[in-house]
Amino acid sequence: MVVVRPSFKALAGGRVGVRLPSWLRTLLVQQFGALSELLADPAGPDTAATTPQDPLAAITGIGADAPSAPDDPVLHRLRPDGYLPEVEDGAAAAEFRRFTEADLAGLQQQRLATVRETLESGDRFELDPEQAQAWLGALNDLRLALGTRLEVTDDQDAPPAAGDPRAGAFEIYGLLGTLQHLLLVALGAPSEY
Amino acid sequence: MTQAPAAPGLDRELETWEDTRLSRPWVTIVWNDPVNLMSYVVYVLQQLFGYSRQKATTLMLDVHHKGRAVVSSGTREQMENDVVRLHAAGLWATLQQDD
Repeated sequence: MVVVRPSFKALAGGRVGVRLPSWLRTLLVQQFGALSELLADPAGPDTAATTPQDPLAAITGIGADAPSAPDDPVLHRLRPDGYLPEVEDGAAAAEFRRFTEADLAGLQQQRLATVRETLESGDRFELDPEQAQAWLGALNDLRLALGTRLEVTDDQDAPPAAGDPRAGAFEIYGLLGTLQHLLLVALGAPSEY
Repeated sequence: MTQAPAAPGLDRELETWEDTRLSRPWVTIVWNDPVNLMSYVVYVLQQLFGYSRQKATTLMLDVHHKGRAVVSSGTREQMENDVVRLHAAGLWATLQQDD
């Protein structure tokens, strides 16, 4: 029986060769799909721009009212504040969010769509430099989402206790970290950290 | 109805000089978080700011050990752009006026 290890390989021209065991490809399709749904939160900015009451918001992606930070910790981590709350009593953060959140949301969804498209082609495929960057960003977003849900801390070396219902999720979280690191190495990043 | 200034180019130059000389610069701060890989933070700082591997590593270690680090400085507009790019890369950053 041949064991396929996940791999990202640097190719000529900044392209990256990807090879995934089938079970991992299935898992990634599922995980990225779930993240895409979460980010298209009905209460969030992805649908705000299509609200019929504000056609200008639909065109510009900028609403009339300054939006507040998301309640969901995952959404808040993926679309964080640009100013600390004490700057201009929160007005600076609200304005920053009003002007930038829709673009960030669009970019996040676009990256996920790119990853979904490449995964559809099979267990082995090549990424051009732009697709490789999309993978890097999407993998990071997925780790941020999972890590926030799991409330990971900086000293997260100890695995969860036996019987912890989050054990499976922690394994996935760790695996995603390994994948991201492999991709970084394929992109020429140093590996001493 | 408005009247065009007599020497618009000169007025704008004076304004910019005053802005730089008299107002405090703005800075972009990257905050530590428990999820981002150290290797990823180094990579992002190199990609976004063109820093050497050594400088990017030093900044990353500052973020990691001290909880935060200033990664760039300039006008408010420039810093907002830096924060937008850092958020797009998944780092948490904020801008503020320099102390």
